[in-house]
Amino acid sequence: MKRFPWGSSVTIVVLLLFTYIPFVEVVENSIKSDSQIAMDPLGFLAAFHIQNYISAWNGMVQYLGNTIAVAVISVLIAVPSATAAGYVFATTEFRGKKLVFYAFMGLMMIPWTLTLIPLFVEVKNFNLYNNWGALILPYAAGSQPLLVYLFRVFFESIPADLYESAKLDGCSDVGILLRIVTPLSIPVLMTGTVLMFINIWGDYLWPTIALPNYHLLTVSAGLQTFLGSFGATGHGAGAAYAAYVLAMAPIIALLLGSMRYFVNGITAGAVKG
Amino acid sequence: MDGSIEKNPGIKDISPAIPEQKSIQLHPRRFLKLLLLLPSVALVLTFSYYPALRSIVGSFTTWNGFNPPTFSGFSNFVQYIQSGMFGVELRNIAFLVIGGVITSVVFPFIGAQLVLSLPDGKWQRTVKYLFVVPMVIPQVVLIDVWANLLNPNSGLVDAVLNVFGVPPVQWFSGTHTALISILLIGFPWISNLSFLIFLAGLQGIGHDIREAAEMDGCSGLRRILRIDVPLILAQVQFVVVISGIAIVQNFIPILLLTQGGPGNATMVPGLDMYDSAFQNNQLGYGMAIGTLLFIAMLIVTGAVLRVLRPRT
Repeated sequence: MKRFPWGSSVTIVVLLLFTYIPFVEVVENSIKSDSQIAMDPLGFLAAFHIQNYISAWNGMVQYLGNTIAVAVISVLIAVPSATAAGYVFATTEFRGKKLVFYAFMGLMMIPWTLTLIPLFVEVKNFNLYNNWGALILPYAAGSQPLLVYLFRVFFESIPADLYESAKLDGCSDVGILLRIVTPLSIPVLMTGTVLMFINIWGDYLWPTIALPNYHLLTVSAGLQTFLGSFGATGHGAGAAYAAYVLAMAPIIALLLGSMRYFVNGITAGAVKG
Repeated sequence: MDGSIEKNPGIKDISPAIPEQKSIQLHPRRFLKLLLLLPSVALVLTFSYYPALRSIVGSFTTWNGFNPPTFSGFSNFVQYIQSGMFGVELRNIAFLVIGGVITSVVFPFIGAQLVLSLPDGKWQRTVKYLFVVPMVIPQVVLIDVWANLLNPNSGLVDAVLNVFGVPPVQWFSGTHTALISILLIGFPWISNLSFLIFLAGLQGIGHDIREAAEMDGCSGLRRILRIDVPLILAQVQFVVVISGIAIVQNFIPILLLTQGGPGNATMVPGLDMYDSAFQNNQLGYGMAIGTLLFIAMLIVTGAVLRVLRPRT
């Protein structure tokens, strides 16, 4: 047994303090009244000022609901599509397979600064502008490279005998996907779902471009709209901090419930190089 | 599912019959199977490849988004490169990319090394998870929180500096400090996806090699540079490329906090593209900037992959 590493432990504590202090300050200010924040922004003494959370909830609840709806529909489109594609890549040889697969992976190199403007024009032409389709379909498409990669790698680890024997039992490919691949792949499907939720939760720019009707916005863009309305509604700093907490808490809760899947998803791609 | 596993041994007995079956039956089946690619391919073609191509083609047109675009050759590119903004934006984005790659590679790497120096088990896992949680905090929240922290009148940072007798720094509104302030967002920068990638890579090396190196007197910084970094060069390469690409594109902090100012102190190509298209209705011009960014990224990525190629 080695000596306890005091030096790195102390360094870690300091780094964690620096990482967390900003967010502790947010939570702390979210329960203060506006005048307390103004007089003593850093002080810790506060009576719980619930009004901040009532104002923030009333402003944010629609955006939270929108985000969950958009994320769920996007996942329901993206994950089955990528499962089917990953299954083909994992189990079938066909001419041009390598090329098609690289065409998927190459998309990771295409920056969204390149696609932003034409995508805006495209959703307008498709009559998706100003409805959730403008978010859902690009989100589902944008997630395909990573999901197809993750799913392919996972499906290749399932013994091929299993596919073969099911096939000989007269099971169709769709049947194999639904009855064999999916039940065995819950962890990697969870990974894909969690990564998509986190990305959709954090996306600010695209909803502000595609959805002029602010009632439809998802949480990151909605948060900025809510904060921007303060001059008109008379909300103060306290409600803003409460809104930050409401924008962070659900996605952190999701992460804590699925930590293993998130960590696996991030490392799976990179470790194999 | 259970049934198919049970029948597995029986299959081996009839195996000579399988090749014949394949040649007759599998062809239509294989075609049907390839159809399973269709949803994914359709999504990617419609919402990724088509707009990407459209952008490259559109960069050679003048277009206000209402009238049909008219072909204008290289004039968008020429106009952008000759504009006074080009040099400024290039300098700013170079600063942000170099600074950002350092913060999103070096600091997470240090974090991963520190976590691995803890004894295996519960504490190591807890610390790792504590660094993971902030990764999912929405970027707009992080930006606003840091705007508050760096507020010269009420922010924590200037309050702390004040204790040491440092006069208030103007941070985002100072010409010389605005870019650095953008980089400061997220300090101490450990909670980055690359932290997890490095951690997994270093764990993949295994205790044996690292401990053997220490036994041989190769410890501390020497071990890190001679053993750890070369063995996870693939991960280093990956992280440098993805964080570089992410930083070039990420003009959200600038859009929300400085709009490129004060003056043009924080103006970057991504924001210029956004402004051209969505403020000034110059869609062709914006797409030209987007295309230039794409080409620049390809070149820089190629160079990074070459320089950091793992030596086997």
